[in-house]
Amino acid sequence: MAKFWMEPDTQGRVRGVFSTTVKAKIGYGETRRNTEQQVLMLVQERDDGRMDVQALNPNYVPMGEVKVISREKLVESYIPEPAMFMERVVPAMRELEESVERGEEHYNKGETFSAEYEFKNALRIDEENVRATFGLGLTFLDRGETAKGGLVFRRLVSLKGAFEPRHKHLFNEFGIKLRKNCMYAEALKFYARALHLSRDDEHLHYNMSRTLLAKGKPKSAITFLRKALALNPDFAEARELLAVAQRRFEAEQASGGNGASNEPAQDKAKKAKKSPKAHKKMKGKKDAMSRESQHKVGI
Amino acid sequence: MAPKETANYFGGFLVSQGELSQEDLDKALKHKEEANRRIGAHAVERGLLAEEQVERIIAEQKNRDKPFGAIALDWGLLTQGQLDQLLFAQTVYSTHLGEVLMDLGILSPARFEALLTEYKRIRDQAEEHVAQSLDRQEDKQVFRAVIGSLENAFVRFADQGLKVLSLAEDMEPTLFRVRVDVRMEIGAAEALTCSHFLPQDFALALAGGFTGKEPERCRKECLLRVEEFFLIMERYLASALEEMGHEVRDSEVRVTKLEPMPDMAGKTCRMLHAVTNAGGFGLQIKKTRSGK
Repeated sequence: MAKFWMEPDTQGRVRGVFSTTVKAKIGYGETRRNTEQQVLMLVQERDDGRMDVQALNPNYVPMGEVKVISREKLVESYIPEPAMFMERVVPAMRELEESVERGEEHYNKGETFSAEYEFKNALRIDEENVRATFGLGLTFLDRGETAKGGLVFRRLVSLKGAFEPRHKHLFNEFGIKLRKNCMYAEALKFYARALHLSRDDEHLHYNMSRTLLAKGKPKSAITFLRKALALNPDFAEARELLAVAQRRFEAEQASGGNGASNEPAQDKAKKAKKSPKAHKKMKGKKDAMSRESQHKVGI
Repeated sequence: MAPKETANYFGGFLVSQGELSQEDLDKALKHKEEANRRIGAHAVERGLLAEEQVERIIAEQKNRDKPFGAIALDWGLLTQGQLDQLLFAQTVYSTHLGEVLMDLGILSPARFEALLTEYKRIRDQAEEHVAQSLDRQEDKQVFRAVIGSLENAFVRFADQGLKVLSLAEDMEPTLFRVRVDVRMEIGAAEALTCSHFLPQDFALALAGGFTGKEPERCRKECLLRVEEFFLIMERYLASALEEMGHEVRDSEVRVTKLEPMPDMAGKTCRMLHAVTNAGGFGLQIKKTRSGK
């Protein structure tokens, strides 16, 4: 089949922008009606000859679900838009990639405001960009902005691609940041979601148990630490933490405790943020936490 | 609760450092205001709400003093997922002063970070200065007076369903040049705003005491210093209130220049002698919504 109107990749497969007509609903209540809209799609041929089709957003970046169609369907219902790929899609993707990279560079240097600027620029090009969303959330959590961090957390949980193995380092770091901001419920939900997709990751089990321990749940922490050690018996940090969790559990049992959370400690931390003097104490604590993070697992 | 960093706070610093002209700052703030759209605008743009629905919610907001999203959820116009989507969009498309300055090419990211570091250093120093001042008897009285007034205002009215308006009567209204609003979400009240009206000499003295300079030499940075001072006071107050068992959900400080001070003589006023005598400033308390 002739592909002169398409942009082939290095292996000669179809890769290009096509327009097609889709049905959509517009309006509200009684004025709601069906309509047909012209949309741009990025089409990429698979090894088996079928086509991956993904809609382009107004900034010419692919977004949303990838649908698979046959070559026949492509020829029948799609119109090629020559030059669109090189003139629009490639520059937009490059700009997006560069913004994310700059954001990550700033973030790694501790320049969270510049990082936020770059991540937001990236998300203005592609609202569903997983790396930029993680990056934005990390910058907020780094600055202790828990309300915004929580919003990004909910966003990430709703993004389909967020928990793919390639983002493992990001969701591990995000979970750790949630825990350090005392957002235990969110951290646990986050790890649970990640574990669902990556059950054999001992670091995820370890991080889950650290959060449970911080929340005052040593018994549950022990369960996850045992799972981590079953996956990797040489996991020294997990073994150390298991000893701590077991001591806490025994102490709890001896005092007739029922595994209640350490809420008062959280309240103390929350209160400490309010006064400058106490803030300094927190600062010292934070520094200690950073030192601790040098040894942290799963990042 | 992280300390608030308002636009004119950092902006004032940039102007005082000669990094930015007042004109550029005004231009940037205008640009920022235009860029930061309300959640209703995002909802219409994304086809989640019609303009009439947004207008109805805004009208309801005036009666209920509830956030836009909460009303939309109550009325079943948005789901929690849709609201989160809009809040996320609002976050992504919102812009800080520093971002506007980078966008306009006034500051490079490197310069921005350098200035931000310097600004934080100065702020930390100022915080340290206040912390030390609190331990010194002569300053203690002034600082304690301000804290005391805020405590009086918030503790006294936080759990009451009353609408209180009070203003110092023993001072000429035209003397007041600076207004400081401290807004707190506390106790049974949805939000309490405590407005301090400072005479010019008091504001200058405050700025002078804060920076260690002669008050007269603080004219340019007066508002900035007053805001810094109240931001620190706000944190002390929040801490004190929480220790007393009043949960502070959120708080905010806003400083505005008054020229001239609006005449409030005709309004319902009530003296708070203890406060005005102690600190020498007027106080107005406005409860934006009666208790639950």
